[in-house]
Amino acid sequence: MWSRVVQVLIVSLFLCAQAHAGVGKFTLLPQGGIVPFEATCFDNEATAQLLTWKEYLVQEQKALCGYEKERISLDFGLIVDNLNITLDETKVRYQVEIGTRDEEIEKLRDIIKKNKKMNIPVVIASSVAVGIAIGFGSYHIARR
Amino acid sequence: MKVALGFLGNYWKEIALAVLLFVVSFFWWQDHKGLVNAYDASIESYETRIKELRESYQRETERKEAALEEFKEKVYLLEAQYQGYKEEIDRLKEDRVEDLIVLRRDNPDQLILEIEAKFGFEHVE
Repeated sequence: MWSRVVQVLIVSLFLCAQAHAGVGKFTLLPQGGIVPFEATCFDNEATAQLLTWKEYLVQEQKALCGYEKERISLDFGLIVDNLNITLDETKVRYQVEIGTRDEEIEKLRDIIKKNKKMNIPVVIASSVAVGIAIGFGSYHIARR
Repeated sequence: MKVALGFLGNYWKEIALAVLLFVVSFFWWQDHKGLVNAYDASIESYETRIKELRESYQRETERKEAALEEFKEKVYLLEAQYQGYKEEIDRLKEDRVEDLIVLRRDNPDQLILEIEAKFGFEHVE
């Protein structure tokens, strides 16, 4: 069975080779001339256009490729520029956040320092004094 | 003087109470002032932050708009350049087509050679 399959494959290989074999043929004819083979005829203009198309194909495709490349480069350039701008401004905003918070903390520390300086010894003394005074005062008023 | 001392001697407790109330009030006022200052510092900090953040976002938008404008300009130039090149190629192709038509009439052998060279086809008489 396998040998049969191999035979079929080899035969089809040869058939394919025959189907693709051979170079194309062409001939130049005067008007009303007969072609010595089955053909698709082009007039002089169409033939000239085909030849020209072939000649300029590489140049055109190179130009198109260059254009597409530049366009992609510009697109990604814009994306990169936008990302850089966002990065720069995010850095600025970060600095603003940190800076203002530091300033705020510094101010709050100053306020606490001032309050501490004034309060600690005096508050203890005044609390004791207030306690005594309220005690005496209450006693005095009650006696009256 | 004696009257004052007598008054102090008689009412020293009331005076002491008033002085102490004043001292307590003063400290209370100091604490309150400290709190208000802290609150003001926070407000000032937030206001500065909001102002600078707004400026930053505004600047970011402006810079992005400028980048977009620059991009549009570059794309316009590139497209114009490519369009110009295509038009130039089209003109050259038209000239070449005319040349080949003339060649077909005047020198068919040369045309045969060109077709053979370009397409690799075999010429048949």
